[in-house]
Amino acid sequence: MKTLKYDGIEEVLYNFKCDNGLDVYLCPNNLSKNFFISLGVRYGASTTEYKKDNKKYKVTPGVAHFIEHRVLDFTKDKEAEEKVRNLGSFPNAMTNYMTTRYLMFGSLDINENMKVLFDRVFKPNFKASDIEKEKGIILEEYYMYQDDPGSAIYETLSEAMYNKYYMKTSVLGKPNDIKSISKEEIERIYNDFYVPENMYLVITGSFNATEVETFVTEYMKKIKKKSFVAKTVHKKEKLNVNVSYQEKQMEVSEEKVALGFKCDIKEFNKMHPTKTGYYLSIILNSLFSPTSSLFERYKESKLISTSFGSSRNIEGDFFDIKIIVDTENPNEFIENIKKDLSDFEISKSDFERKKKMILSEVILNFENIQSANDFISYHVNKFKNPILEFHTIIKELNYEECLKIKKLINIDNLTIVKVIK
Amino acid sequence: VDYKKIEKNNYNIHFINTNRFKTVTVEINFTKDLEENNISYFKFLSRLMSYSNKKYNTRKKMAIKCEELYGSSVFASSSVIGSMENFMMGVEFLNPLYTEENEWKNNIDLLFSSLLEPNVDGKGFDEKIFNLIKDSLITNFKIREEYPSSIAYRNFESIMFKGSPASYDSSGKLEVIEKLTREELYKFYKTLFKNHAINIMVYGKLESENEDFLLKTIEKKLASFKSMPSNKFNPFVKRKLNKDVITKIEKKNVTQSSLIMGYNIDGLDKTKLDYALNLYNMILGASSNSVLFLKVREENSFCYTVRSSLYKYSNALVITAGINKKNYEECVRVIKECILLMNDPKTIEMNLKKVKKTMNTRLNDFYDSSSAISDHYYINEFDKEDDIELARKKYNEVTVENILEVGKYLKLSVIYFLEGTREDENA
Repeated sequence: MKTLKYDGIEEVLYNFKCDNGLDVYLCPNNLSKNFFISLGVRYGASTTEYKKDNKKYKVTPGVAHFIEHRVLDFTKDKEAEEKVRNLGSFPNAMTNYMTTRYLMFGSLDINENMKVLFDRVFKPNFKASDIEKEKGIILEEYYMYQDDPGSAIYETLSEAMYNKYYMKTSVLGKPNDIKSISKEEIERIYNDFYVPENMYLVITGSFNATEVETFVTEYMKKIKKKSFVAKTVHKKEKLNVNVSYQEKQMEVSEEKVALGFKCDIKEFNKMHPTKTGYYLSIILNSLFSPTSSLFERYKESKLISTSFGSSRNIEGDFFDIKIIVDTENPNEFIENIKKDLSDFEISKSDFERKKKMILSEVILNFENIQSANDFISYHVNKFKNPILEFHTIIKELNYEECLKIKKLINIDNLTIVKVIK
Repeated sequence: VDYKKIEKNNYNIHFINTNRFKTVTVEINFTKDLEENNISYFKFLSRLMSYSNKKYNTRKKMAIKCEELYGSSVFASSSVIGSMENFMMGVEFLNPLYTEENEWKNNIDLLFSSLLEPNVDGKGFDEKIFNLIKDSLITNFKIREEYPSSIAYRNFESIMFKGSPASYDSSGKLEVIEKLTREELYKFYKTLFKNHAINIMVYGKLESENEDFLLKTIEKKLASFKSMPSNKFNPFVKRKLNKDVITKIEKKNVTQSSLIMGYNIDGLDKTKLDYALNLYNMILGASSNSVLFLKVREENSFCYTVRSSLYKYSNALVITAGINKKNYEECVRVIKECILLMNDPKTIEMNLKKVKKTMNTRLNDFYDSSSAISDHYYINEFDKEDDIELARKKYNEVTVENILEVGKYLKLSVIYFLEGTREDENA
């Protein structure tokens, strides 16, 4: 077991690889009384098509999330249900584009907790009747999000701005997709992707690392090593937005506008994505956080009704920025925000202050055992590496480089979605 | 956790010393009996006072100062706790152990300048900022109408708790916000320093010099405050219970319908059955594989979410589910069946040991949450709570009979249904 140390904070990470290929990261914090176990699969809703043994398979949108529901089911298997409730633990699971994670939060007998969770994930029982029943539950989950105007407009914007990119479809899929998911597809995808070599285990909180290592190593001897050969087909996304303007009718009290800008970042594609991510955070924060006067200016001119919301995503050769606002004056808002996005300036002192903020945010990921687990899992999933040197990466962020990335914001490659009352 | 309380003439300071967290938080709580209009005033005040102060008189200047202090956060919030209202102002900052500069003093100064030197002119709060926030608050009232579950909760509470403080809208009232002037709000702000119970919560890794510095600063800053002792206030809501079940169905153009069923808990002796009530709620609908989850979601696929929760200070248990409108009657029937199942000793025997273990994990989680620790010592000023280890012991002593006894005090009071009129996509 290797001992790894994060730069600049007191956290220590232990790492080992099981014979079957499962990658394990342990971050004990014995000031806590609980532990948080996360068993992740590098498979999520971004796999819309994959190749295996020279054969191509299309994936029904929503199937990753559907598998998560069926794998974590503690209700049909009475023995598993007894065990988890006798431990007083909280099982949970989540699916996003990049990963599916199975979680257990508990405080009694970590080995038994791991066994219960591993048994579910490595020995699922997919029955056709359970799959049919699950469809009703997932449809209600879908409608819950559709009734939320924020989620609905975000989904519409993603559909409109991307051409073939996986974010064009939502993690849950559409009702027709959910209804069409079959036992055969679930089993095939499970067998192709739920392979230890394509999985990782992260545990944070109160436990003894050596004892956990012994247990995991022994358990994983029973889970055979299997070659991971399924290859997700990454569809080349054109830089240009798919649709530049779309309207959506909804029952809302204030009109809403969603904007999505796609920008070329090819010249920086050798930069570590963590670093690029920090730069983009600094850039967007400079414009949209309270340290900018933009909010007050827009509010006074009635360009926005409440507040700004912005998010960013970096993928290969491009990054995108999404902005969603409530506004009485959509056209004026769009003109002004385009101008401000191209004209705004970041001073050296602003940049240095924002670096302090980033450092603080990263350190505070270790404030509780769940956010620490999320932080480690995110990096291990995405980079197969926990990124121990984040402190150094932040220190080395460079003002001139930040300005160069800022210049890449392309205000003309834009999708506009208007929500009309 | 090392806890100590220092009682002064006009305030209490609670030091919660723990090396569990990487931040330090100082919160000043002002508490008194709930008055309906004050909810709106406090909502306004909490937005206004964390926005700017006399020295940092724009949102931008305030935010820049916070970033200079490694992302400190000056915050203000207002909340309704049963029949009490609480206004809280605080600062949270990264422990100087992790930063290059020691910013203890600067953070504390920022908190007190925000509380005691607000951004006012001769008449009242800064006019431009006041109008900006007023406008945002008014828009928020409009926007919340877009969220069906929020509408359902509000309408349900107004029926269930009619005539009592628990029926007040916790976001305040639109007409009060619309009429409020900056002069009136400034006058209201000044009442903070009279007639409230003041409790200052300090938590994080604290050295003795940090505590001494805080004690001296607070003594100087709060010397002229005229406060009330905490025991003058209590959070329990007095309300009249309706005899017959009220059923109310309303419609909205959304896909998913919201079902809320409210039960009164009438006559239960909390000194004897408080712990049993919490475990009853966990078995029914507040734990994994609860009776409601298994029956309503897993057996019948009626919903994605179903849960029960306790309104501790209003003696009510509330069940909520997001369902398809066509399942309304069936779902109500199954929920009633779940309540009946809770009177069956077999159901309780099967679940009690398990929820005690779940409760054990939740109690352990207390030590991982700085806000839970602080809230515990704060609420203890008004409603004596056992410490966590004693609570753990008492939960373990709860018997099957105690849980069955709780069931006798539950009476269905309100069925509220916000029916979604939009057809399912691809139905």
